This record gives sequence, C-alpha cells and structure tokens, in this order.
Amino acid sequence: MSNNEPNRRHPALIGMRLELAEAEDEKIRRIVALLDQQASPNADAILSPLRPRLGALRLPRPLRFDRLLFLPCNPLIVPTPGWRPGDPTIPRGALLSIARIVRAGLGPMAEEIDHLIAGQSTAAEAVITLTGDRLWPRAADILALVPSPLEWEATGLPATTYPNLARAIAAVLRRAPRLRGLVQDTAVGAVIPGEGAIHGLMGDIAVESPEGCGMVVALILGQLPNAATLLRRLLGAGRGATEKLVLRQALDAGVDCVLTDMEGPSGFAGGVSRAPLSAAGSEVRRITALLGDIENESDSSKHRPRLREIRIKLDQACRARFTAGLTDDLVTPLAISAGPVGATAQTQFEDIARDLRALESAARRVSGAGIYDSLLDMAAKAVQVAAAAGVLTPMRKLRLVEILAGPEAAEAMYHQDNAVRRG
Amino acid sequence: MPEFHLPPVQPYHPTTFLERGVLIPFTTPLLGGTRARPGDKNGLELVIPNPSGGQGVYIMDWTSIPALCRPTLHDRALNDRVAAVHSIAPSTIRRVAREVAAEGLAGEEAMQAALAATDTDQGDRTITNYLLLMVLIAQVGLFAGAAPGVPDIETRARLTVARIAPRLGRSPDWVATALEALGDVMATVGVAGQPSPSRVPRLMSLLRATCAGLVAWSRVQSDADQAAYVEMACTAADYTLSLAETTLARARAQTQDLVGLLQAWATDPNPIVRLAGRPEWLLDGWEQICEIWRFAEDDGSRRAALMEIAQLIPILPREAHDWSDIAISVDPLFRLRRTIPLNEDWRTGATVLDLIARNEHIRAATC
Repeated sequence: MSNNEPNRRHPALIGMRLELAEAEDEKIRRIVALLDQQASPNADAILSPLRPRLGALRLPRPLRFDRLLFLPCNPLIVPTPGWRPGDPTIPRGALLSIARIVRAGLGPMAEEIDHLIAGQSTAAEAVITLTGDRLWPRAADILALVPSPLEWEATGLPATTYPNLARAIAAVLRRAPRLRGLVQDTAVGAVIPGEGAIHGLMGDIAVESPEGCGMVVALILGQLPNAATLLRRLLGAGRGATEKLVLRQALDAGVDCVLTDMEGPSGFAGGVSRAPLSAAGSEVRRITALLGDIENESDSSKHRPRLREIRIKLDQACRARFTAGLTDDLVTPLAISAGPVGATAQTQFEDIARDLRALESAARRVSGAGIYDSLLDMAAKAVQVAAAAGVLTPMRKLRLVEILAGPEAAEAMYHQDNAVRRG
Repeated sequence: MPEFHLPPVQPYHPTTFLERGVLIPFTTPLLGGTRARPGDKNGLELVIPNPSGGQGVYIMDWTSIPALCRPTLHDRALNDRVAAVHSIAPSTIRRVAREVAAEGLAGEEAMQAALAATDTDQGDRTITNYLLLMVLIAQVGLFAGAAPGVPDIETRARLTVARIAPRLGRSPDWVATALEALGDVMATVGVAGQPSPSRVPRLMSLLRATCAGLVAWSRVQSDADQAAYVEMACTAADYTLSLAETTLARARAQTQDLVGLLQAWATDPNPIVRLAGRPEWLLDGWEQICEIWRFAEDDGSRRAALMEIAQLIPILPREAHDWSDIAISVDPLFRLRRTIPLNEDWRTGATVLDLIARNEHIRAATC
C-alpha cells in the first residue's frame, strides 16, 4: 500500500520490480510464495506493478486484517493516480488509512479477528466467511461515524475525499456478508438469484451516497448473473421518484464502471488471458451473462459500440487462452511424454480437458466460431496418437476422448476396442 | 437424427421395495437418483427424479434417455450391463456397477476403489464364513471340553460337518458348500460378535454420522427452508435406520441356530436370502446421499448439496411395515417433500463436466 512503502524507491527494489514485470507466471508464483513465507515488509512494494497479474493468477496470500477487511471491495480497488472523486471505485492509496481507522474503532475485537485469521490464507473460504461476517458490518458502522483521520494526508488524496469514500465503503461492507453468501450459493448452484435476493441487497440503498450506490451495483453486476435485468425490475417496482433516480444513477454508474474495467488494458487479462485454465471458463460465462444482460437493457443502444468492441476483445482473449491451454497443457505434454502416463498424470489431463471444455462452451457464446470444434478435434486426434504410441492405455484414451469429443465418440471407440480385443 | 420425446411426469408412490427400484450409480448429473425396476415385457424401466426439482418422476426405458440428456460413457456401459441382469437387487447392481468402474470408465480413482472394494467384500465373506463355522462347531458341541487349539480348527470343522451332514440328510460336501453360500449371503449383514463391521453396519454408521453433521450444520443456519430440508432428510434417515436395525437383528438371528439354518437352506434358500437382503434394500440410495454431503465442504456447497439430497431421499414403500414391528408413518415424509427450486443450469449447463467429475469421486467412495 502506497503510504506504507518507505522502500518503494530503493534502487534494488526498482530493479527487482522491472525484472518481475517480465517474469513467467511460474516465477511470479515462486517469488510471491517466498515473500509471503518470509513475511517481507517490502512484499507489497515489490509486487505492486504486478497486481493485475497477481489477480489473474489467483494466488492464495496470507490472510491479514486489511486483506480480510477489503476482500468484498477487491473488484473496486484501482491505482490511486487514475482515481477521481465521485468514481464508484476505491483508490488503493486509501486502504491502509481506512484499515487503521476500522482497527482502532473495533477495540478488542481487532485482536480476536487477528487470532482467528492467524496462519490462514485468502483461500480459506470458511474462515473468511466466519470472520468477515463479524468484521464487515461492524467496520461499516465505524466508517459511517468516524470523522476524517489526521493521517489522511499520507494517502496523497485530498482531505475532502475521505467522508464520501468512507461512506461508500461502508455501504459495500454493510452488504458484504449477504452478497458474499449469494455469490457463493449462485456459484455452486444452490440458488438462482431472483428479485428477492437483489431486493435484500438493495432494499435500503437510497440512504447511501451516490458513490456507495454505484459501488454496490458494480459489485452486484460483476458477480451475479442476470443482475442487470433484476436491478432494472427493481427500478420499476413501486418506488418513489427520488429513490428511482438514485437507483437509476447507481445502475448507470455501475454499468459504466464494469464496462470501463473491461475496456482497460488489463480488461480480460485477469479473468481470461492469464487466469488459471480452471477459472477461465466460469469467468467467461460470468462476463457473457453480464454483457448479454446489458445488451437487453431498453436503452442499450448507447452502449452498443462499447459492447461490440468488448466482445471482439473478449473473443480474442478466449481464443488465445483456449489455444494456449490446449497446446501447452495437453497436446504438447502428450506428444513429448517419454513413457506411459500414470494415474496421477491422467487425472491431471482429465482436469485440463474439462477446463478446456468449460472455457470452450462459454466462449462459443461470444463468437460462436467453429475454431473450437477444429481445435477440440485436433486434441482428440492427439490423444489417439498418444494412445497408439503407448503413452495412454486404451481406457485413458477413451476418458480423454469422452471429455474432448463427447460420449458418443468415446462409445464408438469403446465398442471398436472391445471388438478388437475379442478378436 | 431420431426424435426423442420425454414422457409425462408421473406420481411415484411405490408400495414394495422392488417397485421402488434399485439406485443405479450413474454419473450423468441429470440421471442422479435414477432407479431401475422390472418393467413390462421382462425389460427394465428407469425411474428418474423430476430434473426440475418438482414432484413426480419420469418413468422411461434407456432408449428414451436422449430426450433428457447425453449420458456418459460409464452410464451407457453400466446400463448395458444392468439390462442383462436377471433379478434386480442392491447387491446385484453393486456388483455390476463395480465391474464397470473397475474397467476405468468412471476414472482412475473409481477404478482403484472398485478393485479395493472387491477385496474388502472378499474379506467380509471370508470372515463371515469363518464365524459361521465357529458357531456351528460350538452348537454341535463335539469339542465342548477340549483344550484350546486341540484339535486344530480345520479338524474341528471337518469333524463337525461330518457329524451334522447325516442329520441334514446331505453329504459333508453339501454342508461345506452350503456354509460357504451362507457366508456369501450373510456377508453384508455379518454375524453377531464380528470384530470389524460388515457393509450394512458400516453404512448405518455412515448415515448416523451424516445426520449428525446435517443437524450440527443446520443449527447455525438461519434459513427456514434449509432447516425443513434437514428435518426431512434426518426424519427419513431415522425411520430407515430404525428399520435397518430391526431387519439387521432378524437377519443375524438366523445364525444363532446354525443347524436349523442349514436345514432351512436345504429346503429353500430363498427366504434366508430375502431376510438377509432386507437391510440393503432399506439403505439403498442413502450411501449416495451421505457422500454428496461429505463432498460439500463449505456453506454454499452444503446448501446446494442439501437441495440435491432433498430430491434424492428414498421413499419408504409400504412393504417396510411388513418387515418390522415399528409403527411407521410415511405420510409426514410426503408432506415434507415439496418442490425444490433446483438451478437447472447447475446440472445442464457448463458446470456439467465438473458435476460428472464429482459424481465420479462419489462413485469411487461408494464402490
């Protein structure tokens, strides 16, 4: 964080950061693990230029108080230099000061939280839910009441920015447990988010600041499928004129925020281009649902040129990620395998094949291009070649063909193999 | 391409266990909870839970399945084998399903588990067979006053069998073979005093632990619907466990008089087989439920698992009344059963491959 990085300009650190900017993903993974293991105070300074890539790699990081506090706000955090007052985003430079205010306001509860998260990582979902559910609403209350802190100058932001920013973050944190639960339930298929769920999140939104409303809407749009449609329905459902105006503005600001994010240079880098293959499919599914939702708006014509460009960019990112995943993680390893594949490697290949199919089925909704058919066909043929070379057993071949080319193709081979075996 | 049409959704109130059908461990998500039962014209029909989460089931044969989903290769092969089975019973389906898994059609883990489970079953049979022999030796009492280990077990067994065979009007070879067959039949329920629990007691422990886990989790949840689903699942599980305990005790009681059991076996083995098979019929379908719950590790997954479980809870047919003196009211279960708002995309959309992978893990755990 910017106001806690005394060594940011140290020549050695600058050199290391430049080197890291060019590093392979695997090298970044190793360095992050090392820095976190040593609890290096310079970790943030070293890694700051890599934030978009770190987000893409989804590396588990040690769960510290400030990380836990701002977890619900993560999609809204932007570099301080590009941030403008009134944006429904949070400048990174403000985080540490705000975390200190919350910590001071919590009293003994802060240490209880520290104790509960000690030794945990950002992948510890259950611990995050347990501690976050306690922390976030309480932090929202604190931020809604505390006046401008003395140390705000250190953030490099004007003093006048604090009240609106604190109030907006409070609006997000107040709804964080409910939104997190809804996002998790939706992800595993436990619920289909409906108007009731959105109403629960937005019920008292009119009391929040415009920035806060925009942030809440941006988070909902970015994380829940079909949220734009549901939010619009909410807009039309018996509310006062003032409330409708607030919601309308929040929806516009939220849509603009997510579109701007996608248009940015790292728009799809995080979720698609550099994301682990296992996460790319669900991310593309989420983005296409959101784009489709925005396109269905009655006044979507104003977004059309932007949406068209975003779709082209997304299509390119999908094709590139799919081709890279297919070649690097499946076809090449099978082709250069020195001997028969074992059970563990086979399980990994099956996982990769499933991830590819998840990405492909989501990516088809972007362009509908036949490129995926031909690439999957190529992969299925590579599997058969590997089987013919003794790298895969007949059954392991069938399993991969089933995932890549479908059960019908695998069934035909299964019967063929059985017929050959019977002579 | 031929056109396939789904049949209408039908009510499902089986009166016998055979009519309820036996759960087929398919890995295709939309076929979860599917049961097979004898149909018309000597064929089998599949009873498939309503994929929308609503009440009722689809009753159809395999050829109509393309109207509903694209089954996995594992399921296609499994269906072929099940179709060739002459009599449907949980033990038969388990054996057939294990053979398919052992080929590797449900993945590496299930293949290894199937091979290991075959060994476990063989172990259960060997232990049961040995214990039955011990019961017979003690009952006939040829060596009541003999010093321990003299003569050795093999000799005691041979002499006991030789003594009992004329009383049964059979040859010693017949007695030895009958004891082995009884060992096979009783292996899933075990014999009183068995050191390690056999399959049915293992399943009962698993179900008790699952219910305890469900209740503990439900206590810290605020959603009333979830509490109702947990109550429904645990009420049904409790009924089933009570019945399973009774039928297990009755099945094991047969072995207290082994001479009498051998006489009965000589006359007609079927009643003995049926009595020993009842606990498995009762528990059929619950192991899947336990594993679905076990695979759900966080709150979101557990909420999803609970909805899936609520849809899969086996209905207790009225025949259960005939198997036990326990007064059972099945009606409350039906009243609790209601439309469950399943997210269809979850089982039909892009996550279907992940669900197949999860089902293959479950397949491994239930081999």
